[in-house]
Amino acid sequence: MNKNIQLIQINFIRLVLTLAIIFFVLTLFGTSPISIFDSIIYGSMGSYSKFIRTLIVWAPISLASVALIYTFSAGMWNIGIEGQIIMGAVGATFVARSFFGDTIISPYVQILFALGFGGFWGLICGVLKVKGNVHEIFSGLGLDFVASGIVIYLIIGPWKREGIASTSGTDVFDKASWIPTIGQNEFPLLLILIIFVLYIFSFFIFKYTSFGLRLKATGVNEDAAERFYFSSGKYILLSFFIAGAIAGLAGFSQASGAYHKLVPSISGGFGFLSILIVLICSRNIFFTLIISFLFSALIVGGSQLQIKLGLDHSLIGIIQALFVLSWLILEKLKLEKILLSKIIRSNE
Amino acid sequence: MLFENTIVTVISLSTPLIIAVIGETISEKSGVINLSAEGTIMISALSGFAFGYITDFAIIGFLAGMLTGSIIAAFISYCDIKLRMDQIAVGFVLTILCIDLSNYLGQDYVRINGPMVTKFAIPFISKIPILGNVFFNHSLITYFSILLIPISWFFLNKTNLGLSIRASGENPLAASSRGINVKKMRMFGTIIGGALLGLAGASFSLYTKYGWSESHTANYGWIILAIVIFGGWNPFRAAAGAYGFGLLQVLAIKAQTVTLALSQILPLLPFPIMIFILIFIQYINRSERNKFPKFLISILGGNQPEALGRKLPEDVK
Amino acid sequence: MKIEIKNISKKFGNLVANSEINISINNGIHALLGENGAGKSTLVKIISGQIAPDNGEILLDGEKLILGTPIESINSGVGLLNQDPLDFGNLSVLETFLIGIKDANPYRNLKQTKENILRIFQKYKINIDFSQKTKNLSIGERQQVELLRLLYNGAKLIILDEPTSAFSLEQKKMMFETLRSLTKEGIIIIFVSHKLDEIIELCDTATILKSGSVIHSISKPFDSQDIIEKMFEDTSSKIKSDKTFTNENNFTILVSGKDFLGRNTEDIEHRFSYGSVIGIAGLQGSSNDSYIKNFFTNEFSKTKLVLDSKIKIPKKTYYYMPSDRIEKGLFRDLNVLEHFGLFKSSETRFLNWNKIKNISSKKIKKFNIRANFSNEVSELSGGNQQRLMLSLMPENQSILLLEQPTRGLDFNSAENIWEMILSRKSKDIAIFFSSTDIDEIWEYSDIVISVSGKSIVNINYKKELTKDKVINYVSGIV
Repeated sequence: MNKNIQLIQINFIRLVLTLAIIFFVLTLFGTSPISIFDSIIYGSMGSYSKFIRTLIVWAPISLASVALIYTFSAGMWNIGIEGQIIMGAVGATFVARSFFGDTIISPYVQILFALGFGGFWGLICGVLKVKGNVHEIFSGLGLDFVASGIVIYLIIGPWKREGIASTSGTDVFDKASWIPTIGQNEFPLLLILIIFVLYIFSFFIFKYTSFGLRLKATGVNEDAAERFYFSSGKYILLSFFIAGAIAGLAGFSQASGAYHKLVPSISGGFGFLSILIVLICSRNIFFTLIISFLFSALIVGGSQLQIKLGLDHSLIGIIQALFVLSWLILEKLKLEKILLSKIIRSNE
Repeated sequence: MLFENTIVTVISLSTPLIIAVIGETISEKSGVINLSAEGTIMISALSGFAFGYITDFAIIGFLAGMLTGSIIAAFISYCDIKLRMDQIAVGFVLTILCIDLSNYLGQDYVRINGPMVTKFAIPFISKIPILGNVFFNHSLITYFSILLIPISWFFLNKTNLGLSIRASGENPLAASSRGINVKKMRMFGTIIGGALLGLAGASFSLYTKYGWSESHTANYGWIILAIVIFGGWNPFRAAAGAYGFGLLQVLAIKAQTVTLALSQILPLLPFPIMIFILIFIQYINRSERNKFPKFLISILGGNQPEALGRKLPEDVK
Repeated sequence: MKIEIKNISKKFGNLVANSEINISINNGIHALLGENGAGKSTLVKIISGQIAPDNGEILLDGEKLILGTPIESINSGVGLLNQDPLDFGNLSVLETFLIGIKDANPYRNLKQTKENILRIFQKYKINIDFSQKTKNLSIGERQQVELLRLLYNGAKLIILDEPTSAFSLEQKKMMFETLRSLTKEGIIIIFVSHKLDEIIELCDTATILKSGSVIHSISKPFDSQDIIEKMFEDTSSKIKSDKTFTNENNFTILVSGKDFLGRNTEDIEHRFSYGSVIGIAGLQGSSNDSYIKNFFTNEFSKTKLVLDSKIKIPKKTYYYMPSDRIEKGLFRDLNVLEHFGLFKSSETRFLNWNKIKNISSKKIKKFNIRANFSNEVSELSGGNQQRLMLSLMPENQSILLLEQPTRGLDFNSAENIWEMILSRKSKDIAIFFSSTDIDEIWEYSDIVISVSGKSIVNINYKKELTKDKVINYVSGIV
């Protein structure tokens, strides 16, 4: 049997099983899974403007996810991604509030700064890991805290709104600093382009370059790298820098595209969400793009749940985490092959 | 008087931290990191409060919290031992799941009043000037947390069971070859750890930070993980770390009156400070060129259980 | 204690590991000798319960031992002391002693237990601080603690598997004294080792295994020549590779004085011509592999290679192949094609997979690797992993550092591999290889470096040596 077809079949069955688990749990909560999913689909893609909103949420999530593929390839747990997103947003805000802020090139300068701020933030984790053998989970956590602190400080301190120091955020950016969009509904063309370019670029890197292959090797066996004439430390550092930079772009997307200002919760928990996404995608670039879209649709569609069905939006988080947990466990239980053979047999 | 009050507040505030830190230390001694600490503590805080509210007995709340923590830990243990999954991945996903579950299920319990755990002054001793007030005028749960420190140390270091648990976390193969049921020990350590994490969660909502609100215990779980490392996997040192963190928090609250701009950040500061101390310690311990004086390393050096965080080797019983 | 091993047989697939082994030991220290692959470790595993035999039985003091379960062996008084101590680094010596101890509840009466343990330490005159962490002890001391632990728990038969590899002279002396006093109490010691000098010094009786069978049983006094003759293959030389060609270029091996046996000599320079095959001979457990790796990493000793031009040799010139294939040499989750890709990655930035597929197909054929591109390396048999590693040798002029290049390969494959290695003589600067098989060393080397333990005993052209001399050197008989 063709290995690829079997793989697709197994994944399909796993998807069905996972959805069954989710439906079951939702029913336990006394809700109607059908109406929930109905509401989500409608809320995320029911109209063109809703679709745009989904895209705006998709941008940072997909960016953070592809960022994590770099660090996961190198065998690293980049929990510091939240901080990297935040610092990218800080970088973008810095530009938006500078003399560049009202020029037409503002978004592009923001991108540069977001890349730099985010990359730097990620690099700190990398250096601590390689030079000090500090586990990246802790340095990441610490830096996440620091980044949140920095943002709050900026919002109620030097970057506070005229007159009132409020935790609702900074002043709104000058229009020129907003992400360039197309049409009345503001299709975020630049963002979509960036995403596709990055994904295609990353696909290419991992498949066709030495860098990608060596990165993957570092994640498998740090010791053997020496024999193949490269240093695993160098690749770990690079992976953190690149991941941080791309995460910084996610921050730019949030600041410049979603909120048009800097707010305390600028990362929106998207960093951690992306970790969940990459855990089930096994570094498959294509899947990552799709699953991040699905999860974004869940978020946007889910924001309507309160209004339409009176359900708290944390239900969406439950669905997402449950999806990932079920998927991972099913992967280990390996039931799908058994089910598949049973189905085939019953069809004969 | 100010100093005295500060100590009282610190001991009181740190109650849940002590319980959680000791629980996680035990779990890690058996070889398993319970990365779901953040989620476990939060959802146990909810269940503790909810059951306490429903039955109007705080003690039921505490038990409910412990049960919640145990169930989550049992799940992690199953995934770790039976399914051979990555502890860290499972723990992380559970964290997110439990945080969202708590916020979802806790909606009806926001900002309502439930049973209160009151102070219980130990007769006679609490009348001793200064010392009496500082150490003997606390709630029962606080006394429990203080007693837990020497009890857990004794359990780990002076009992058979404790030794077996530690052996399983150090070298599962060697322990197994000597007849120890490593899988059972590991599971045991994980679940005890989870139970204590759950108890800590309940202590938050029933005592230290009373009640329930959205993301009620935010960030405490993460900091627990750091304090365990800071404590070198030793209950006494871990407790010192927890009290130290509590002190930072109290200071931050007091400092809030100083400047407004910083006041928003100050409650957050203890977290990164703690983590940086940890990073500093790890750096001293493990950097490539050891340029730090030996005595510093011996004081700060921890003893990470050698099999911590790793899957069990295939041929272990 | 008396042990009778009767007709023990064990096969692994087609490989006969043990065949009708009959050994009877009444007392004293008994040596178990044999080359690599003779069947020693299989027999040890059967006695200690890790493996169950296909046939045969073992009687301890007349009672049948239940085979195949470690606990049964332990309860019947069998104790195994491994080469690497199986203990707990972070725990104290006392604690490591207490784990699995025969006393039902040691903590209940800790004081008494401690006294009992102290008594056994004192009895064998071993002086170690209980409260110290095990990892702070030397390997010798850890072995001693482990030995005492086995005794405390009632071991009457103790098997030592290559125990003294990491011992200092002092520690070895003490260990031997302890072992002798143990035998006076009726405890039997089975001493598995290659080191003829130690066996001659310590043991009372010996069994020599070869290809899974007992070929000889002897008692002291031992004649080392006699043992060597019985253990090793026909020692008449068959020099196969006589490709004498000359290359005007020379290089120098600078051997650090500290590496020589005795340690108090000066550094010595040896000059050899390009294309030399240098075999580093040593018994299992010796540092011959470490010397190979040392040329690549310079971590083990100061011995190094120097070119006439005196320039620093770039890392890419070396091709290092570790004996620990899957741990240190390959990436277990990557597939065969990706390994070839990695090998190419040091030359180019972009990977042209079609080209790589071409190169790999040729190499897979040439080296007879039984695998597909998509097979993950962990799925390959040991032999194929070995062939894969060999196939990754670079095309340009190199210094080959091969640890045990034919380990795990059958005779034909080994011959083929050597043909390919030797064909590089005209291209490479030097070809170093290590092996525990004296025949292999003898057949292919131009120059032989003999290593015993951690020290270099001798370096010389093969023409100036005899096979017996080399065997003596590596066995520690100077």
